[in-house]
Amino acid sequence: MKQHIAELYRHRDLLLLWTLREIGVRYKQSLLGAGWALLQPLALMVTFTVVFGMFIQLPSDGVPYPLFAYTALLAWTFFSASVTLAIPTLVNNLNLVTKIYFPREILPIATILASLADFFVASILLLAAVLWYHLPWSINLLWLPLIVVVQVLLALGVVLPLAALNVFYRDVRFVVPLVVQLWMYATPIIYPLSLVPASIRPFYSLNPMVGIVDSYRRVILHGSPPSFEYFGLSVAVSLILVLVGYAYFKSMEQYFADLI
Amino acid sequence: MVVDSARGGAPPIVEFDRVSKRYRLGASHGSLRDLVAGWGRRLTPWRANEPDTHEYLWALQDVSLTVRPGQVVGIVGHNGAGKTTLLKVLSGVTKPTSGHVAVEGRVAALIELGAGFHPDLTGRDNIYLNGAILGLSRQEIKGRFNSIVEFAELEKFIDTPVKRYSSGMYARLGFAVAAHTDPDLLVVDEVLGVGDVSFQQKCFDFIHSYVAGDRTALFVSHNLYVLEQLCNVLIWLDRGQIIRCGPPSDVLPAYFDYEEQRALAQQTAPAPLDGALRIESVRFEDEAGVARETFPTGSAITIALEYTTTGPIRRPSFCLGITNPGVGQPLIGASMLADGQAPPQLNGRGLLRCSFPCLPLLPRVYEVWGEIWHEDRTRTIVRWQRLGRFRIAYPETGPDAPGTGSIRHLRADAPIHAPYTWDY
Repeated sequence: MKQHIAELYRHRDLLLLWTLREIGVRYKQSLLGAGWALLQPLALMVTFTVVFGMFIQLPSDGVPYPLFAYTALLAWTFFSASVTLAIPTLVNNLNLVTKIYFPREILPIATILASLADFFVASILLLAAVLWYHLPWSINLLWLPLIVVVQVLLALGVVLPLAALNVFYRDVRFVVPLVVQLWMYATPIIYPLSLVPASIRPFYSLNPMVGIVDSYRRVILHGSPPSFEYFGLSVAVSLILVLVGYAYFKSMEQYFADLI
Repeated sequence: MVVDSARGGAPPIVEFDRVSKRYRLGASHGSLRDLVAGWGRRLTPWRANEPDTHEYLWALQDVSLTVRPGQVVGIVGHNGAGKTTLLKVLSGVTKPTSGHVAVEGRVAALIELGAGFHPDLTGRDNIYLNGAILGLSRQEIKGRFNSIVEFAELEKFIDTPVKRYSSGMYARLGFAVAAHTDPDLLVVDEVLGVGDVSFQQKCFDFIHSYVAGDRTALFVSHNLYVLEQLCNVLIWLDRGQIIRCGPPSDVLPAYFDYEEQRALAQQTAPAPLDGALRIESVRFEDEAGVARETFPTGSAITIALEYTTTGPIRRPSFCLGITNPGVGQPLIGASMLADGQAPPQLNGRGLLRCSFPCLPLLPRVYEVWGEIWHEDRTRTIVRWQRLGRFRIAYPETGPDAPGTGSIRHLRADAPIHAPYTWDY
């Protein structure tokens, strides 16, 4: 593991350039450009606000529903975009993978980092909303960088093993969008965590996105620190996933060029 | 077998120890159904130890070789001999099935020029990206940027997306980046045929100066004359195994010998044509009238055609030509149309001979083509076609034994050996 990370570090310039490439290519020849990064969570937020906020009148922990939904959608959009775009990267770049050696994890990682750039662009709107609604600034905002790191680790932990598996079984590509869709309903995005019955919460919170979304809401919307249990569980699950997933990825790496 | 010349003392850059690589033929990956069928085992499909029904191909078998600093190694062999697999194992793209590979230093493998170029990005961005893929840092690329652009002759187009490049421009940029990676080992796989003639010349000049600078390189090419010029060691691969390795003067004649044997083995009887006259067989005889396939250079050869006719044929004109393989354009001809001779009448089964008392041909495989004209000399009875193959080889000893000249001349250029002298 240590030598893999050392090798990855030696190729940091490639990772940076490939990430810039991903960002550059993603919105090339599109009119809105990076505006698309903003539009996706925004459109979902508007839809959710109308359907769930106004029609169904779901509770939102005393926060305006648009803000409530958008905070969660930011994290969710990052996660779902990372997973759906990064998993096929090895197969999509087969002419590279079969012709030149470099640490293959650079391809999915760069795609995740490009999604992170989108995440930051979309965050500008949240910042504007926070100012608009005059939410208080709290010392607990200092938790944000850590939450971002955990959400990236989680994306890595999910993407690395599945990207490797996708080389061998293309089914992965079809399963992932379905799972991501279901996963969204298993995460408190539309509804508040408080609506989940206490009896199933121990299982429910095994979903590492629960702790991440909950932490963003607590820190940004309520000015309180993340919940120790929920966020702690997210950190633990994400770390395990990324360690196991990376080890699996590296052990499969040698077969990629033969099987793509 | 170990490649070991030049500077025996220096530590090797590449060391292959009994390297084998096996590929599974047929479906390369399964489906979800397989996955469900045996989840645990299927998560590691390549390790499946159930008796499997797949067919395997050994792309490399027990290959051991050493490349030391200053060596320029060429790999020859047919398509499918394992050349590209060897390069892929060497550059780390794929791992060997068994055996051990040790590589010291930076390897720049030009298996495909411009692999990794993104069509939407500009030439500039792609130089950085491709340089990084080939192992350069951003600082290194920055330092070489102008030189790369100049080499590729793309100053005017460097901020144009490469999707608007012609294929020649694309290849030029690819070669220029790769040429500037300054590797410890340069690996070039059949990528020199790119761009226009003047750029090809530039590539060759680059490689010549690279090789002359006591650098280490490994080339794969079908162009044996280029390999002969560039390399001091050749490795001949066939079906994944090293057949022979050593200096070009040792490997190339053996390789040609093998190639010619193969070409001769394709010997086919002339296509039977419906018609009044048919050529049943062709054989080649030496002075003693003994049928042979191989003759020493400068010896007498008699081409004997066995024919049958369905009825009497008056004064047919035979034309024979000795050609390079596959071309049908005669180097030496014997034509009754030209010399005015003709057998008065052919009827039934018979033999017709054409004798060359001295055939001044250099060693290689030749074909005999022929046609037969009607008495009126305006239409053919048998159209121009391949009749057979024979081979000219060096005598083992004697004044005509092989000299020290380049194989390029002896094998590719003018095949007719007329006596000559130089004055200087």
